Amino acid sequence: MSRRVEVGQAVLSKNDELAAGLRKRFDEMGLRVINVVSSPGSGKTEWLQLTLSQLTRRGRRVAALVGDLETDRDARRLAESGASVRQIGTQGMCHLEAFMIEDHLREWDLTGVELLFLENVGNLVCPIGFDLGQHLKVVLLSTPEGEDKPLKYPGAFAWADLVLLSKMDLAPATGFDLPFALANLQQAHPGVKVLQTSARTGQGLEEWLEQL
Amino acid sequence: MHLVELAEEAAQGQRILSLQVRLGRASCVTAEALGFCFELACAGSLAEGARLELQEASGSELELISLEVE
Repeated sequence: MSRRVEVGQAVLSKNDELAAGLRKRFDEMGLRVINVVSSPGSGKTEWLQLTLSQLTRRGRRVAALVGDLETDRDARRLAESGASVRQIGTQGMCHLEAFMIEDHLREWDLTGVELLFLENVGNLVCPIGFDLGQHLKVVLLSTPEGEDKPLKYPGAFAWADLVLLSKMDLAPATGFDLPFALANLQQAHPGVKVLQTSARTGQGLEEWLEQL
Repeated sequence: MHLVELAEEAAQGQRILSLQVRLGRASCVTAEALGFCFELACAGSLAEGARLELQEASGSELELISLEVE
């Protein structure tokens, strides 16, 4: 005789529980955590390089945890800023999960650090399903990707607290239609805050640092 | 993987015959992808060979509703 067992649990409830624990810990430490998501190649690392070096230069204590399927190339790039940086090798997984953050915090002393950036794996779909205990969710949309990305991946843009239009210096070369892109962003997420940025020229940097 | 872990916990050592799962259209998971991974994830677990019964929903649900155990 078979028997039915009622469960009624969200499949990702474990991740959500872990993330809630992380958020509590971050709050107790006075650490503000930013989860950065975009498609591969839209300039997360370049923008974080600039952000970390600027903040470090201004005497702020900052750290970054960067996820990739393979290599520690991004961590090495970010560490040049002088910030404390760790790499998560996801070994094929397409997103970061709360347990990975927890594992890294076990042997990483973040005492006195004010800001921790989580550079997620380049992917506009899966990362949004996994809470990492962050306080701010940021999504990048680079100008060469096209203005219609917010319509094609509405979930990611609806999830974001803040959208950075990256590589604005390339907008003339790619024929980027800014009003169309902004309209599409508003359609995916009415009222979302958008900053126009360029890691090359430093456009939008001050506004971005204010958001942090 | 998370789904099978959850099911194993709820089954408390009993063999799992089927899983009833609610899957929302906005969950970033499609029925086809879930079905494909499900078989692989179940291999070697209490749910090996179990049936996956999906109930469609419109939101972002991905929820294990119940199990049928032996």
